[in-house]
Amino acid sequence: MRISTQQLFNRSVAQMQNQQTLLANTQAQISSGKRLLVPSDDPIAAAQILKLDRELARFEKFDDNIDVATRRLQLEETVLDQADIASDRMKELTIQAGSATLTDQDRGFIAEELRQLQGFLGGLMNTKDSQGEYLFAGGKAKTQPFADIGAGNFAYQGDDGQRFIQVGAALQIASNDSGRAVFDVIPDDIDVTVLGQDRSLVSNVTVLDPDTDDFQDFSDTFGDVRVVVSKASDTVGDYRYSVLDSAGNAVTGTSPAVLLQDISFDSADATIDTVAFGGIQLDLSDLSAINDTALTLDKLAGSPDTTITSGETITNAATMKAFFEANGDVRLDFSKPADTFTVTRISDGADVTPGGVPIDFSTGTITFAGIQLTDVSIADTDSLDLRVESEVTLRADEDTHSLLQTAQNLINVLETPITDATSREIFNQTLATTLDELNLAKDANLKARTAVGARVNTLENSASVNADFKLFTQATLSRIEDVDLAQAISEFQLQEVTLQAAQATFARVQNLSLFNFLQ
Amino acid sequence: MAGLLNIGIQALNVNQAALDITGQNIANVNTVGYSRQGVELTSRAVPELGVSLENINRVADRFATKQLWADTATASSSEIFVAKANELDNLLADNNTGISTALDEFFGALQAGVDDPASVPNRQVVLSETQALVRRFQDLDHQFESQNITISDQVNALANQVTALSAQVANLNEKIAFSVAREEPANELKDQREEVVRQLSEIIGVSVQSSGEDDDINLFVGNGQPLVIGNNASTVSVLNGDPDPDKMRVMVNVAGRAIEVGGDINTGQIGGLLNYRDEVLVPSWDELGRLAISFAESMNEQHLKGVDLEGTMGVNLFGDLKQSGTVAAFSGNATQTSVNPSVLIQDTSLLKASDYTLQFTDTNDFIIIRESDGEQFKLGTDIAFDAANPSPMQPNTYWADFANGDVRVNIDGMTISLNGQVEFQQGDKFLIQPVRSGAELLELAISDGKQLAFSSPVRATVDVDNSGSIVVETVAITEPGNATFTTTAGQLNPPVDIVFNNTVPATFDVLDISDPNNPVPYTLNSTVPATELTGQAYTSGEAIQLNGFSVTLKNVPTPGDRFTFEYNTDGVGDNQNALALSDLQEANTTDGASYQDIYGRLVESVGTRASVAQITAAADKTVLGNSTAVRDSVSGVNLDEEAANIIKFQQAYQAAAQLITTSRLLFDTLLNASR
Repeated sequence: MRISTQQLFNRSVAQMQNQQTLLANTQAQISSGKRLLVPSDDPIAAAQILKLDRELARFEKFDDNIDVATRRLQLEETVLDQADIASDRMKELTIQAGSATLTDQDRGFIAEELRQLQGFLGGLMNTKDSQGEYLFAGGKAKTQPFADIGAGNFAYQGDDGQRFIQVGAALQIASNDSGRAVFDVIPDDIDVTVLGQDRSLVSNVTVLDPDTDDFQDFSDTFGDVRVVVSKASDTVGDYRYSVLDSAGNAVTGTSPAVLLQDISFDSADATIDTVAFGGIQLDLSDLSAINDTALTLDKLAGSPDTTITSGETITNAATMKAFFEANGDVRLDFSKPADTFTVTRISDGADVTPGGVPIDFSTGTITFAGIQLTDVSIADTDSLDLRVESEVTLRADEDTHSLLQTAQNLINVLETPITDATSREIFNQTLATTLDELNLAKDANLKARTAVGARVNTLENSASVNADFKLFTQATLSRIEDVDLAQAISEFQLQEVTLQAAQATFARVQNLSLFNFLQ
Repeated sequence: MAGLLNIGIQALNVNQAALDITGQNIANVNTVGYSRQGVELTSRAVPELGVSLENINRVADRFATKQLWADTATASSSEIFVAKANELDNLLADNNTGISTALDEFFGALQAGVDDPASVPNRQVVLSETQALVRRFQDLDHQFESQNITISDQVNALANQVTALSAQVANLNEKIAFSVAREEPANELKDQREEVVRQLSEIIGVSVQSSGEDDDINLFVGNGQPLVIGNNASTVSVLNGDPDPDKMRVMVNVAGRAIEVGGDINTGQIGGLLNYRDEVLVPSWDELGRLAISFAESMNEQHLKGVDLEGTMGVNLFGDLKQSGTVAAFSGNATQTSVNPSVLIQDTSLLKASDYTLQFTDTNDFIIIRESDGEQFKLGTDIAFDAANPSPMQPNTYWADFANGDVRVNIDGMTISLNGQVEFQQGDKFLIQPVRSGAELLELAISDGKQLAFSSPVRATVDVDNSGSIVVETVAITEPGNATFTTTAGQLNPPVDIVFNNTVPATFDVLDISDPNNPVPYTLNSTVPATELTGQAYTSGEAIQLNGFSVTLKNVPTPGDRFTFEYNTDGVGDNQNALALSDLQEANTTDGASYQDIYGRLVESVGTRASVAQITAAADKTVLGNSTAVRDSVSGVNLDEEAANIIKFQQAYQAAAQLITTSRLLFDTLLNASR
């Protein structure tokens, strides 16, 4: 083939340029230590590198998180240890205080030390972390968790929140415990809470014997119970009550010892209408004092009321109350095709239809005595029984307190001079209670420390697992993106030799010219 | 004797001329586009005898040259493509400009918020990193934009060059025609013309029509639009995009009419730039925009579900990008009355990184084309009519009042609305760009770290005398805009108790405890009709849906067990929402992938494009090298050859001179003889 002179130049130069490019590329790889300089060198590896870098960044962050969580948990552990020591000292003092030989003054000294201890314990329970946040306040980090709410009473002001911190790809560890879970663990006496719009329906609700678990057991079995009262008949003072568990079934009373379903009581006579069940007792009131808006209208079970589709509304509570106070439960008897109904009293069958004549309901809407029933469609002989009643809900209510309160109670007793058998009895009882409560607190403390210890262990494990992962990821990353120096350097040398050869031959070829001989 | 003298003179002249040509060849050994020349000699017959210079030949192969032009166009196209793609490639993967590192840093800072949500310095760090991330998005968008502007400027300059070079070709056509007519050699002019066409081929791929060396070279671009016909040249210009402002158009002006050719130009630098813009730059730009939108919207969605350090419900963390897309009418539309056409992004998880074209195929029918993959959405088959015209619209539905030009259509997680006021005509077209401006418009919407909503608005409290093993597993905010959270700031409306009954299997009542002393049944409003949640069956681990939030309880209850859900007042140390925000790093938010996966895909796809382009460019360069070699091997000057020619012609010249000497000797001999 014919070769032009320029071609010869161009070709040689192009080849040398190519070699130089390769050389520069290899040099860049060697000096950076990276095989991949730009994604286009290996796009798939580039995407993988992004992913692995991200993994590494996450693991770094997990390590930081492990440090943070460990720091917090170790602080918690220390505080719990200190609190345990304090409670041990409290126990010693309590036992010491029980000695019959002590004078009031001696007990005063013990009380003084207890007060110091209480302050120390309070300080521990209100510990702040390095950020100035309360360690035991749950999520309410800026709210002092154990505050003196006056009169020597202490209440927990935090919440149940736990701060979970991510320490592994799929592992979150709670970095704190709420003061409620750790310190506020001593149950108060169980109590009853009355709930409902008109709580005056019952009164004098008391737990019969706070030292037994009767009501607690009852409540755990039946849940919240409802006391329902309604008027039984047109007789003045003739009322009924039922006590229903949370499933709607009547419960059996202890006094009267019957199933407490539609039991009559007379609010007009002088006796107090008291009922006892499940370890509590209460007095019943009639509906007369009840706010009329607290009343509910019930369609009684067994009535063919399936055809009232939109339900019932109370249009005038006062009228309704008056009507049902006067009559008790009533029955609506429907007549077709007249599309009318009459109202009769269930207790004696008397016709008490308001206005005295059958009421028209051809529009499908029944209106009488402040009640409206809509979308009624009823067969000829159907009837509907209605009752108006009021109810309250009774709920077991058991609060808890911490050793701060226990200490306060003990201090109060220690500072009260023992003057007689009664005060001695109260003193002894308090000592016994205190010892019980100290044990409860110690158990909770131990449990919490165990949990914290386990978490610290988990953190240590995660740290080593993360370290392994990091190593593995780094190894993979290195395999993908790092240059094999031995290979790169030998490649470099080869390219260098090639370039040198190209340069040498270029010079030689250029020297070959016929003009050299045309002298 | 006179004959011999004559022959000698002729030979002297001819060889003198041949030496001149050799000199010309040597002189032009480095002249670009020069074709070597040679002399064509003819012997004369009796009676004159002698030699004559028939012609000065230009040694050229038309077909080799044509091949060279075509290969030049291809090679310069792939070369400029690679240059641009490498730029972008470096940009995306660079730790200082790429998004991935910034996302790592953002989520890293967020972990500091998780570790200690109440710390104001930590929050400030999160805010700064968020700002840095936003800036990174904007910077990268700006780089895309400036690359696009550079491309536009380049194409503009190149178009001017095309106009100038075309005029030169036309001019040379004319001159060569003159020379040919006067039977003068026009070798240099032809060389020039071929070189100009070669230069033109570098800029824009042309198809060449020419029947011979002496004829005109006619050039066409694109889809057969004439650039040069004989001595007439068209001009090439660049116009703004219609309607996409980011896509300028290349026009050829023929006889006073501008014809768009951009789409049909695939070679030459202009072709390379346009291809790069359409195949790499714009799709990557859209992908970046989609990432920005999906990031901002999913972060916002979660951020709204939290409460900030002051205890108020979270606000948008980033500016709302739901309406950052644009709808633009083509200028050729028959109906130009469209009022505020809009695109509303509803579901970022379905969003695609693409432009769309909505085209009316009839007055009451249209199709939508997804530009990234050419997928067509047809009414009836792909998109169902929804007579209810709900807001928001259901996926893949449309509603239209064609007579009044009122159209709403939902595809790929967005709703496109057109309001033409009058009936649209067949052929009316709209360009929809839902994501292009996403990264540009991304901005931080809060200015104070305290506004970061790291806590949950709902505090769950377990009643202390619960005796079952039941615990609260999660509280999930499903609808932060629900009246539960919005009615009274800083309160749950209403706060809720969940109390278990002694039924078998277990049931629970949900109670509204607005008045803690008078719990009343809680009404769930999301059902029709609203339901009172009493006697609900309990399943461990199953979410209990309440108004605006849901709670999941786990394990076994005993009757009377109770949980209270109220507003998380003072819950500054609660990190639940910060955790949820940080979980989004790994969540599959868009197209079944996480933010960084999407970004990784972008890097990978640009890297692949760049890598393929590099290979193509290398191949094209080799091909060009070959065709250059073929052309040079025919037309290039070889100095050795010319040296030999010098010897050859010099010897012939000397011999011719000898002829004259001989002739003179002969004459002298004759004179002496007759003396």
